[in-house]
Amino acid sequence: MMYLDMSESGAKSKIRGQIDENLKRIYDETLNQQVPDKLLQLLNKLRQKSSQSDAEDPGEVL
Amino acid sequence: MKGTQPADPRDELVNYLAALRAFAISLTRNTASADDLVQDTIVKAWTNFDKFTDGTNLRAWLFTILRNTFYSSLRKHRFEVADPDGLYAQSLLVKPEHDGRLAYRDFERAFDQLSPEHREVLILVGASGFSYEEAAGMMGVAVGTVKSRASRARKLLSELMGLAEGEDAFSGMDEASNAVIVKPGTQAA
Repeated sequence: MMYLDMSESGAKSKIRGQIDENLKRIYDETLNQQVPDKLLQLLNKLRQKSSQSDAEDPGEVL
Repeated sequence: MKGTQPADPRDELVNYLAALRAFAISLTRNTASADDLVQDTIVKAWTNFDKFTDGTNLRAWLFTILRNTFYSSLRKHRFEVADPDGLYAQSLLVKPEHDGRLAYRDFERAFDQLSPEHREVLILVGASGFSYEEAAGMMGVAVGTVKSRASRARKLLSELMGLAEGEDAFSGMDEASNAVIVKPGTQAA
């Protein structure tokens, strides 16, 4: 029975390793994509807006 | 000239756009919704930046805003959640490739069937390198909950891939072919 338990945990960690490998791939595939322009433009707009209203108190915007 | 103005710490945000987007896609599994989610996250982070504690993990802070935004919009539009409990996930069964390794497309399909909570925990601790403790802080749950949720999510993924945890990748197929072979054999004997 002992050897069976050992081979079971070996297979389990092998599957687990493959799952993690594939999870990283799913995440990295999108991580390496080009960031859409509209997201970069949004940051530019926010930066402009905050430099314009520097003297004002922004308050609770959301 | 360079460095004449004190840097706005918010200028750091641009370095996290790709990571935020990758996390958003893993939660929504939809690029358009993910981009909307990242937009909302950026606006919230920008306008609430005074709440960020200097010297702490900015990526974790941004991811927390993103996932909280995601879940509060889910609560508002519950009808949009096709399969919150992963119920029809059970119907999907994918066989491993010849060499027993998980085929990536099949893996993606299985990943899509998980609930957002399960995808979230797997991406945080399995792919983006956060510790269980960091993930617990971001998810607002106990470390033990993160561990058990991650373990449950891995188990579900294995089941969706047709791999019972603790079994060899081929054992399910062997049982099936044995059943086919044995039946006519017993008839003859």
